[in-house]
Amino acid sequence: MRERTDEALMKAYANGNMEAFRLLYERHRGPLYRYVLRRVGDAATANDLYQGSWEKIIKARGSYSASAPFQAWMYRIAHNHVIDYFRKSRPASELLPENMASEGPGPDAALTELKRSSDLHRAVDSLPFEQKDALLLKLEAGLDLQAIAEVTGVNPETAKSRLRYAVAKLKNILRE
Amino acid sequence: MTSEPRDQKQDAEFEQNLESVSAAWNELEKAEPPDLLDQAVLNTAQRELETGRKRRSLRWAGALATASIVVIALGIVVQQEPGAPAPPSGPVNGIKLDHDSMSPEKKESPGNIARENEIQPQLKKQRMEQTAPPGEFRPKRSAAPASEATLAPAASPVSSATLSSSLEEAREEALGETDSLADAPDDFLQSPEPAPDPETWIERMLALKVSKQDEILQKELAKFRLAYPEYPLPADLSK
Repeated sequence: MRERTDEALMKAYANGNMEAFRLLYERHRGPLYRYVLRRVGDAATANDLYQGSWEKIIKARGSYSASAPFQAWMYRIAHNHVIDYFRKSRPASELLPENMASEGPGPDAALTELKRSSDLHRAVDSLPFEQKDALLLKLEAGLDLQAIAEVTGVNPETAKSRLRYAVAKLKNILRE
Repeated sequence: MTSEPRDQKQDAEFEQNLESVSAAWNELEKAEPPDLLDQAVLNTAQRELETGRKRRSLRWAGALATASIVVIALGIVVQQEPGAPAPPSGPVNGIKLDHDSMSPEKKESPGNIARENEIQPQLKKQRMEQTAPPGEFRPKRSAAPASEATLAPAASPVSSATLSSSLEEAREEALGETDSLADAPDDFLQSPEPAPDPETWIERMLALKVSKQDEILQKELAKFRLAYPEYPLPADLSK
């Protein structure tokens, strides 16, 4: 039997089918959670933002058009929710691209962090904000360049450039 | 020219690096949302659906209520006779006809129909008495005071014997009025009072026709036509 598409499931949910939402949620819960978690770094904040993102998706169900790819639409909502969180929790100057590389843990926390997370996670955390965003959308959500561009609100060339820099940096870090 | 092969080389390198990074990434332990969080999201989704359904049903109820009100209002407007004068709002010699406040059920109940039939001739008579000079208008039969004999309270039961006798009396009174109109002076017919009830007016004109007062009849007909242009006239008068 042919599996129903995300778009069809979302429309079915918008029309009152709860089972369709369960299927949709089951498909995307893990990737979306990991995307949010890797973006913010700590689980408590990630839980809040993840739940908030789903609430926004649920509330926006009436305005969803089945002609738009569901994944790009869903990650755009989550992406904007995360950006809003950063805007509220940090001064605007810190959101400039050159200042948006992750600060990394302090000296005491570094040892714990090193033990807890893998080198790859740390490498991703060290990436500038926008490169990290593009990379996580690729690695966790499996979005293509066009979808990454749509989610982040840039053209595909810019999205590709960010992704290329991020991958090159990760490769170098992994080599070391 | 030279940039194309270089771009292709860079693209190939990028694809290769991306693949190796993806492979390494996929080997990492996958974090999952806590069960409580899953439940909270699913509950929210369910709750939103139910709220949406309630809102939709309320919208239907609101629309239905509005439509009902419009239909009832239109029904009342359509039922009102076009061109008919408004019923007297105040009591006439103690008789009060509260048309507006009467519900359709009340109007159609046998007791109320009988009561209306009793009251209408009484009213006609009173109007005649008010307009005619004293001594000129004399009903052939004087009935007992309406408020005492014929007008029973709306809620009180009316026996069939009482009803039939009251109706008979009222009919005879109305006929007596018609007869007496033949002797009515021109002043009465040309009085500057507001246009009377069309039925009463027609009765007067019929009386004029019977008494062969054609000139006055023509004037009355012209006035009637002005006052009630669309009111149907009996065949005798329309000829």
